Amino acid sequence: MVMEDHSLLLVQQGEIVWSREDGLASVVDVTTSELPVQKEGVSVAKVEQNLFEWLKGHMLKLKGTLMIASPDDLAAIQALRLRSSEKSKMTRDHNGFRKLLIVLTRAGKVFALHTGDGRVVWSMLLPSLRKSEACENPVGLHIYQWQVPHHHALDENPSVLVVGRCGPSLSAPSVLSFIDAYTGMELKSLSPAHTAAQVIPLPHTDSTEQRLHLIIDDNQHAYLYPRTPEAIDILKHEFSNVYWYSVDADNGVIRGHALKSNCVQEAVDEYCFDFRDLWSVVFPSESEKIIATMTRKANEVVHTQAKVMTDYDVMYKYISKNLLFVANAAPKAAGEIGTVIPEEAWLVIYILDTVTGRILHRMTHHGCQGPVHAVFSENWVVYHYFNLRAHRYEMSVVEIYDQSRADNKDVWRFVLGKHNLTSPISSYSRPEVIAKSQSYFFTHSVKAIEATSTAKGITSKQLLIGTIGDQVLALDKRFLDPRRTVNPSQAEKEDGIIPLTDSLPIIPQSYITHALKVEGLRGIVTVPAKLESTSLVFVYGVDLFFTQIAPSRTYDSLTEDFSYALLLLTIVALVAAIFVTWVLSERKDLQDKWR
Amino acid sequence: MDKGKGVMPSNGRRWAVDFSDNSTSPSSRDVPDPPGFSRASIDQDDSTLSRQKKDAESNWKAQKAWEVAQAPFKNLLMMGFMMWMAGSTVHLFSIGITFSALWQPISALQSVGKIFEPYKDSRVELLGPKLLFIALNLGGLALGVWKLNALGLLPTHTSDWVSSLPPAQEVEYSGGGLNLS
Repeated sequence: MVMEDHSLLLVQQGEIVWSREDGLASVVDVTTSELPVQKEGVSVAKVEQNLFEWLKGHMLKLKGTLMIASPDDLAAIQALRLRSSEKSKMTRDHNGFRKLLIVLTRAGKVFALHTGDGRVVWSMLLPSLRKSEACENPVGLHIYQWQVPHHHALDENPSVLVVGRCGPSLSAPSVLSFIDAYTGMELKSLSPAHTAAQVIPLPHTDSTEQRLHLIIDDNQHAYLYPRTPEAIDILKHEFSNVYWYSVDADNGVIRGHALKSNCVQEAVDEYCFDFRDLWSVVFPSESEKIIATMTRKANEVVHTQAKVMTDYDVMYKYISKNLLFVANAAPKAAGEIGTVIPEEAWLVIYILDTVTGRILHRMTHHGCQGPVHAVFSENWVVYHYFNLRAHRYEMSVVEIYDQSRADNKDVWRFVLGKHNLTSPISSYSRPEVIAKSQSYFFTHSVKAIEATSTAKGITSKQLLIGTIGDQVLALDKRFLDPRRTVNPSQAEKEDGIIPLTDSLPIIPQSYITHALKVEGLRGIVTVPAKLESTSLVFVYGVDLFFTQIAPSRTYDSLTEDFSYALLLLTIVALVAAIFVTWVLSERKDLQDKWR
Repeated sequence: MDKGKGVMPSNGRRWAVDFSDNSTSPSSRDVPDPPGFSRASIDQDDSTLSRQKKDAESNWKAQKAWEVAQAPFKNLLMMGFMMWMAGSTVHLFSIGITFSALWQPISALQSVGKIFEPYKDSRVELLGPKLLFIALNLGGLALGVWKLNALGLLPTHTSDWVSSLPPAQEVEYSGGGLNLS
């Protein structure tokens, strides 16, 4: 039996034999939440409560070591070990490895999965996303982090926002639902009258640590959530700095807008705002059709704005969160691979600034076709497409550098702090940019690409490529470096620049899925852990896969088999040796004086 | 009654004769001078001899002071050779040599007074040797610093300072994209 939440049940003679949450095979969107902080004294109480069970558990383990346990006992021991191991505790851990993955499935059911062992902590079929008279065909669209208390409201639980709509078309009314991340209870549910064409999470939070969101409907009105006067105050403060861009793939137009004022409507709604048009980029429809767009992740942390090249040369990265990567293909080539001859196929990529509409970089690949999968991180874009002339897939990298800061070469200005490199920048200053790019062949077809992300952005990045074989390959970003040359000089080799080859190597040991396959791979999500060297990776499709990867190996923690005992022993032996030799030397001095 | 007469029951020593005589006049002695001995000439010889001795001593002290002042020069040469042998890569040996080359002049400069202590004399001009000593040690320090620079450990390039700059904040924020489907 298939239930409303896409779970399967086997019912025999009126009893449920097994049930399976198959809704997890249709994950739509993922977000994460931290677990509660470990409170003192809780574990002691739990042990005292289950004293009898603890005793039973020890008896079982004893039987297991003495090899007199029955198969049922062995299974019980295994289950006990799994339940009490470190990685499946329900509290935050020091390295940030234990988190909750909150996934929204197509059935409108929200699950919370524990990253330690993947079990379902709670699940909630949203009542607002169930079929009813008001909502004919509800569908969940996106899930966002709504309230993440860490400074002001530490006692409250974090919550997430689920945005859905009541029908398949863009003009169907929207549904908002706020869910508590620890318990799974629905805190609030709203059915506003407006539609939801886009949702923009703003970088501002109010005093209760709720993030401000703007929901834009198809009439270009923005609605502010949470609907509190404080939120309006914060938005009014940042009014002139909020911009919105819309990509119209059917007509090949990208438009940029800025917030104008409150809506001009019959009913006064102070949480509704109007936009005014600022800029528009119109792609010629007879030669270009938009097939892919990509932006940077909003919560990405970049460690430093300077990139040191060989010979102590410094180039400044153009790190702006308001960049958009657009890939356009020739209209005839927008279909399947191989339906068009190379002369009629080209791929044009643009990098736009979405505040001013300025085109920072444009490049044309002749004889190339989509589908294009791209990832945009820091100041670089990596995209994957098909080359009809070479009959192979290709991957290209484009890196953008800010040329206007390049004349900061005087060392004394830095020593005295007289530079303006850390002052806030605006897109309206139109700095001169320079782009470096390179292309390489790549043998696999790709379903999804993502870049690793860490807490401070210091660790080098790896690209996680979900291949058509349903496996995930970790490719070091150093292979996609535009500075690669065929014969690198000695200084470049010391810098770590790999000599240029025409195709990217696929090292079989770098599959992070090892021998497993993530069936029906659809998306890859990376989450930073608190430990700088490690990034958490969640891959979803029909199967779900979770792992921790360390792109530069775990340089910031000791190995697991580090012998603390040996260290302590060495220290104690050395202190004893110092004491003994000090006493001996004092004695010798005294004897010499008495001679 | 007489000085030097030892027969005084109050002392308890009958036969002890005190020969040390601090007076120079011949009349106060009860032991006559040996023949051919004139007191005045001894005084004159004493002072010239002591003056000569003092002269020789101060000359010797000045010479030694200059030698001590020039000692760091040899040390400098030896340090220079060892640093050249250490090479321009950053290894344990090269770092050790460089730091000892930096530490030795500093410790020598701190103990300038102590080194020149045995040669202290009112007639010897110690400022010259001291200055030479200080100058040679500063030269040794400069050699150590130059070696440090050659190893690339001094922050003389822009890249050393700029890597610690955090990325600049952006004033505007832009969001949006394709419509949710």
